[in-house]
Amino acid sequence: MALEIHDLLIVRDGFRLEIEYLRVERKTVLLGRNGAGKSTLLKYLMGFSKAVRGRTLIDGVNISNLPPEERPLGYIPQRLIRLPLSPLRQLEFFSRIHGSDYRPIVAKLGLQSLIEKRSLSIGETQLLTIATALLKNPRALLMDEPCANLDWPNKRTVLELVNNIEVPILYVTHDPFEALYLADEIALLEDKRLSGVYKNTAKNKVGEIYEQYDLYQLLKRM
Amino acid sequence: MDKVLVAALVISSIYFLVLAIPGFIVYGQAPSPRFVEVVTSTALHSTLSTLLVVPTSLILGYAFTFRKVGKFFTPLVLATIAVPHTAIGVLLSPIIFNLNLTDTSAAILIGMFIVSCPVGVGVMRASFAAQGVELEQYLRSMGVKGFRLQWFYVKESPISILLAALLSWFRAFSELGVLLIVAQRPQTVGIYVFEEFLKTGPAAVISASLILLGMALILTFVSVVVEGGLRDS
Repeated sequence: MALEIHDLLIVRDGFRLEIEYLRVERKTVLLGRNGAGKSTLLKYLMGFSKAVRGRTLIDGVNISNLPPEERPLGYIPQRLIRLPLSPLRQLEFFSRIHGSDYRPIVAKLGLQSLIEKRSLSIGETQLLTIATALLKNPRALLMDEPCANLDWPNKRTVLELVNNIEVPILYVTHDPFEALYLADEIALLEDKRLSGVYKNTAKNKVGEIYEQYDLYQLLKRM
Repeated sequence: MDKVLVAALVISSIYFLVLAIPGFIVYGQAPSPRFVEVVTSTALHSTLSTLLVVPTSLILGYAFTFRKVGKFFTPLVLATIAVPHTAIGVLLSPIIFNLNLTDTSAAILIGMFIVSCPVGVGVMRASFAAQGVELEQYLRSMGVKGFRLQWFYVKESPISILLAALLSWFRAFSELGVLLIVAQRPQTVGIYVFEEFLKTGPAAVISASLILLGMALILTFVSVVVEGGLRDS
């Protein structure tokens, strides 16, 4: 499975973003500063906005002209999504739409305790949103700073969950630590274009540091 | 609840007690039995109008917030707030005359609907905009289409819907301008006060007006409580 972006040019209200080519096969983190165009790119890929030119391919098939509802992509927006349904009802509702079964996904992600709850914390809500997106059986996941509103322990939980997802992921962040922890490849967005894609050779090392520096544990030892 | 709004209500009540009641003592007569009949009839028409306005507000409020076509038509609907209502009545009159609806309950309903719809749409538009486009984008990415999308927004907005209904009801109940042109009968409360005033001066209707002001204050208080609930939710 692979997501490809070809010859993309987005121009809007004086903003310009150019990406010649990007291929997402495993976990690609799109790293860039605020206003670099990261979210704009994801909204284009989902079909919420148009580009001057460009093509989006999934497994070699052009999906650029499909409406968002029909694109085989999962999308986690930056803003926390709370639906007016209990966790179980939410999973059942989207399972029915996509003809899928939520139970294996919930089991694989270790979220069994979550679906029995009536209301969820911010971190749990984000986990549920990710689990829900997987019910669509997406060919790739687009994640727009899913940890932006989370505290450190919640961030850890979400990052660990994302790390265990096997679908190709294009993960947007401005946090280099998140990028180094998650990414197989880091795509750097600078000066309104993709300045380079780098293999993350530090992934294991950062993972170890991440394990060592559970900041809350560290605080307790001080 | 917002302290400023509570203060505004207290000041309105003081106005009610200090300024309007002396007017009643000087001029006032008890309202005629017909007044109760007219208030009941107006309340009934306002309720029916509100029952039409609420679903319309849900559809138009959603379209005006999230759909390009809807955004294009927004000024047309919201402009009715700025146009004198007698002018709306005049513009509406050819249709009402041609349909033989002049001075009927249907004409009252049409008039009330047209003036109160922008109020309901405005409330729902603000509510949907506050929920944000991200929810819609997420739902669309999850394959949700059509009215199902809207259902999620509606389910999140019970207090806004209640507020839209209350404010639309107030607007319909207090309508005079359009009804002066297209439906003076069956008599609604605005027409009643206007006609009685023209016939006999303030004495005959000051007590009725005072009761209406009191009713409005109570209903405004209710809407402020509802709005407070909206902010806290």
